[in-house]
Amino acid sequence: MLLSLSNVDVVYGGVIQVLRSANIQVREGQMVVLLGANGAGKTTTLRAVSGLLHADQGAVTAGRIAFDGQDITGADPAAIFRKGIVQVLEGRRVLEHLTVRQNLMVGAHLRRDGAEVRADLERVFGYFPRLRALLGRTAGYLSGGEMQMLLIGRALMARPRLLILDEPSMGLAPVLVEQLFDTIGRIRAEERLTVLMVEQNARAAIARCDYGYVMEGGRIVLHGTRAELMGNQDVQEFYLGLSGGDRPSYREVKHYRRRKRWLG
Amino acid sequence: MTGLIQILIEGVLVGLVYGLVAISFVVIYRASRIINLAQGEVLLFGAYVLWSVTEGARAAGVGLPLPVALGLTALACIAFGVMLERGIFRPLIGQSGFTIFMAGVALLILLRGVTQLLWGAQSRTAPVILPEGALTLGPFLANTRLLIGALFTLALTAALHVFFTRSRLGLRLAAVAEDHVTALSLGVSVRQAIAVAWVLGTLVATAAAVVLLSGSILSLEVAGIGFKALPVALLGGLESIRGAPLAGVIIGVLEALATTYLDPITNGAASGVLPYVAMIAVLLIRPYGLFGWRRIERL
Repeated sequence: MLLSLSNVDVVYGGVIQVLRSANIQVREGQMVVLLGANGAGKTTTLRAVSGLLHADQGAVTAGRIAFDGQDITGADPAAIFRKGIVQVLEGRRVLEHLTVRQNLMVGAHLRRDGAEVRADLERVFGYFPRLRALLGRTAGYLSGGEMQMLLIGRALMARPRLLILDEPSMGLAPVLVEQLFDTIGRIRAEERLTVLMVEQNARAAIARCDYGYVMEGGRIVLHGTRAELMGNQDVQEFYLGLSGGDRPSYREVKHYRRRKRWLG
Repeated sequence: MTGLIQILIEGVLVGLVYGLVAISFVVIYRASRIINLAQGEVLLFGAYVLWSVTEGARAAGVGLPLPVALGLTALACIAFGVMLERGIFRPLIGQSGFTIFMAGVALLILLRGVTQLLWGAQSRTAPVILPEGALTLGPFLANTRLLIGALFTLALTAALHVFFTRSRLGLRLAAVAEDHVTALSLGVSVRQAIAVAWVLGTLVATAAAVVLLSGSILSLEVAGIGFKALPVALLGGLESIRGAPLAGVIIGVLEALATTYLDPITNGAASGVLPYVAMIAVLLIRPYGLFGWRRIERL
């Protein structure tokens, strides 16, 4: 087990509980997605792993987060980064006044192996050929799709073992979303990278994941393999937008009851 | 004509020294988003420490070789920079700009008091570190001390630019200058970066003290250079290392021209107020300065 969250509670500002008893397991090499509506606690879960809760006055108040067998609960973000967990934050946070090259090199700022860093730069260009032409450009003026390439490229420059992506497809055109997910798939295959991802685009995410968790109101209400999720009627109705042809849709009438059953 | 060029030369040289002090503002501001109002007093502290380990030590009968004295001064200033960051500005991270501004005012007055307490209020002669005299360039004269200081400013600007864009530590500081949370997510220790920035800023201020004061009069008034360099830092752009010397030259030349042509008809007031007229103009017209970071708005 590469990453495991056991009964993790997260509280913001000492009073607002955002995550309740979350249990998440990520195996080496897997792509795991977290699904759920806004405010379900997905980003909080990711930040608990990468140690960035402090920036929002949050803290893990119970439970344990382990990476590769070592306890990383509440550890310093820099220490977690050094262990190989690299998070791409939501909202395309490039270092906007730096050039594309400088952004990529910030990803490698802890590495002393200059030749390997240059080789990794070439590998990033292999995945995102567009970036090579943009090297000298100021990152803040890139398009949304280019920024997302840069962010994933920057994360790869750190040679992560676990790549955490927070809504990589947000605000991208559908064709770009498909390309992005295909590239992420290639990277996973070639780098044998483990990916933990939050994604609103459930259809694209479920189709490519190995395992998924559905969150609601700070709890995990459903989890399963890709096949299990795709076969689940709740997931089909609420996340994939399918209403079985011969089956009457309870989408409106039973929504509340379903929620209650989940929360129980 | 010769007179005008001579004035311009002096303006450029003095301006580059202002630029040096402005760089010390910029280095600290980039990492911590704090404008240290007491930067002139920090410079003053460096100058008095340098006096103590040179002239002071000689008077006490323990003459130190100059490199040792400079090394000791640098060490003391590093410790001082760390102390200011740890003791005052780190605990204030996350407080409002007004809180930090008032802390800066308090620090400014406090440091003047402490300097007066430790070294007394009398003026003294600062040690001669850079060669005295003037270099003759055809019909023009350039003060050797200022010329060396100006060249040092240019070299330091180039070196800092390479440092912030190429080196691993420099890129870390650049990431912190952009956004603290993003820097954290990339494994950068923001605290460490801010501490490094304060040390750098304090060292640059001390280097400026050496250039400004070598062989001239050291007194509490010297701290005023901080407020002269602040408009320079604003004009250049608070995030821009390369903007500082350029803005310094602009302010320096304007000041030199005002001294020659306007001071005789304004009872000497024009050159003194000119940097602050420039500062208000910058704040009104282009608050991020010539090369500062405007928030990039994308359509």
